[in-house]
Amino acid sequence: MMERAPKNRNLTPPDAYAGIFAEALATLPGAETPVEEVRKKQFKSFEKTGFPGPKVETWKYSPLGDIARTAFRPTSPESAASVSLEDYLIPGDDVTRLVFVNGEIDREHSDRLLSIGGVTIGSLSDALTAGAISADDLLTVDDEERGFDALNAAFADCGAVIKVDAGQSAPGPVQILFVSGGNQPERMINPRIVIELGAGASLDLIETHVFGDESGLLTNLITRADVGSGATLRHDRLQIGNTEGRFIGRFDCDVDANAKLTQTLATLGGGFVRNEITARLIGSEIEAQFNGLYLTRTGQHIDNVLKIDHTAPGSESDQYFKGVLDGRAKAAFAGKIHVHQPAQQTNAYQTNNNLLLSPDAEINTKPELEIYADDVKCSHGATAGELDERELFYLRSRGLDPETARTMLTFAFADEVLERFASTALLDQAKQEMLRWLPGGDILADMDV
Amino acid sequence: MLKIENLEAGVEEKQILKGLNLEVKPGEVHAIMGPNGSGKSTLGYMLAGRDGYDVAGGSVLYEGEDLLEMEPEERAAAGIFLAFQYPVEIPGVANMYFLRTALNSIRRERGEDEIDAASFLKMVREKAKVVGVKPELLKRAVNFGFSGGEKKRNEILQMAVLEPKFAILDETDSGLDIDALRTVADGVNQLRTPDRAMVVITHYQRLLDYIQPDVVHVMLDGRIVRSGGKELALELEKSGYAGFEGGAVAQAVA
Repeated sequence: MMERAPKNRNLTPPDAYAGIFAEALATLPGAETPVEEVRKKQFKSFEKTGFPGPKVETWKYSPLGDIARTAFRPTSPESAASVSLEDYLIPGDDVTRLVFVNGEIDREHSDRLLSIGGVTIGSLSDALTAGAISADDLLTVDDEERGFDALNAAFADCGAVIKVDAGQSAPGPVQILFVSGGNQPERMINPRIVIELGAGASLDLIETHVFGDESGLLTNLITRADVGSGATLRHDRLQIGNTEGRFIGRFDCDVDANAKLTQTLATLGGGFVRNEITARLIGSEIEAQFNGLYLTRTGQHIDNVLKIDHTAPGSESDQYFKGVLDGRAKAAFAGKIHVHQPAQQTNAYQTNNNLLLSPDAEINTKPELEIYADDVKCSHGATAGELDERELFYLRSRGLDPETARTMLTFAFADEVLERFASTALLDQAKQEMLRWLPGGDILADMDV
Repeated sequence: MLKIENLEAGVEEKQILKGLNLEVKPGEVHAIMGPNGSGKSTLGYMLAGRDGYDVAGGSVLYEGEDLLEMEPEERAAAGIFLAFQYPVEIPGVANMYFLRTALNSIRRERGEDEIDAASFLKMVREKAKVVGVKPELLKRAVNFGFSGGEKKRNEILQMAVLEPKFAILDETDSGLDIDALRTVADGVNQLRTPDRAMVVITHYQRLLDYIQPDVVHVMLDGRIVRSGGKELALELEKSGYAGFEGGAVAQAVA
């Protein structure tokens, strides 16, 4: 079966990348060590593969346009962001933080390498420089047809390595905060997050991307996670800020038996944002929950692409995505459930509900079920529409004017996803942002969120 | 206070109310009983201002004003309240905040000052106690994840906070166990005042053991076919709707 488009449907990257790479090599983490050889190999692979073209099925509604035509350079250390970090840091003495400003680690706000009781949390560049883990293991490419994976491996400049040994838990949540800002045309960062959870280990990961002032920066993120048997991973991702930042991220994970994976994505900012989630449920009795919210305005294009593979019997997955689209917003959702033949007694569900606030907004939603086992429960449902008339009437019958009623119901529609964040501090940040964002949100400004 | 004359209304091609007459005076509690499909809930929705009904004839006067010309929020400000049969869930909006927003919207519309947060808090806590709404439900999102009984009590709490002049209770008793029913009824009874009127829509005579109506109406096929005292409810309990207007009954039940 042909799952991916042939390479000739891909777009050739600009030649200028060769010079950019040659120049960058000396300053990327792991310079003059065996890491360089891995980077060179991956860069060759990137040049050969190129970027997915518009005829590649999962990129149909998200044409790359000038992202594929531009030769992005790594950020320069002198570029500064004027974002107030305090607004986005997760408070708490037990939080381990890694903060990156335009891809550069912010030592003041970041914790030093934490290595206690079977838990290791450190920055990717430290790991690459120290060489304790081989670059071959850190700079892997899981999807060889996509180009962005190899580009990331070649240029990987920031991110984190998190290892929790069997039966251990991180002392508290881990926050990885990426902030961009200043003028960053044709610049990119290539963060990479590597997560390994042993059997029965647990981790709360909070990932924040702040698209700062006037930044046209491209974030090309790769997250690679191994969730061991009986392990628990709770992963929150908040994308927030202006409508110019560009983000392409792939989260790829293998989940073993009895593990629990809960992931909640909220895209409240960014210009072109694409979240790709690939999960292989390779054991039984797994509970995997994928939640997502996108609030999209004119000038924004938000795309969520999920592929959940059930390869073993008796696991459960649920995709729950909601979108609010205003102005001339564009969004796409593609959720695939692939139940392999041995995966009997699979329960796999998918929901994608969209609220269109404007007649000019556009949503392309595509469920895809591929089922080879005969004893399964699978369902999918997608809607696109306006606010419920009966609900509006309920609020107005309590005295609320139509605008307040609309704003409150729109807030409630979106908030249902945000409430699934594992972190209540992140939930508060997201709620406040949503009130700033929503048409008429100032009406609810006095709400205690 | 409320005078409905010969009201004919429906949705699209389907006529639901077929010449309904009803007059309610201040301080009165009226019960409207009738089988499914007789138009009881439609009447409640129409009085509260839900969109989408075509009025073919008749009139509704509320305190001398043409009620059908008013928007739902104008009616709320004028003192009309409908306790919903199926209250709406509002995730992420705390019950307390919703109540305060509703009350202040109504006060603003009436040209009154907004209530300050401290007095509001005190007032809601007292009223919640009276109608049996647990304090933690005030902090939770409106009706979100509430049980059926909690939702109904929450409707009564909203009524207690908004202090309407004219309240319609649409099958507030359905889905309630006997204890919940008694608490809800106690709450309603406490809100009975000489200048406040209520219309209680119900399937069952049971609720009327706890809320003593001044007038009982039997509604069949879009009309009130008989009105009487509370003994009418007992009669209904014994003989069902079969004794009222044979033809209409057969049609309504079908």
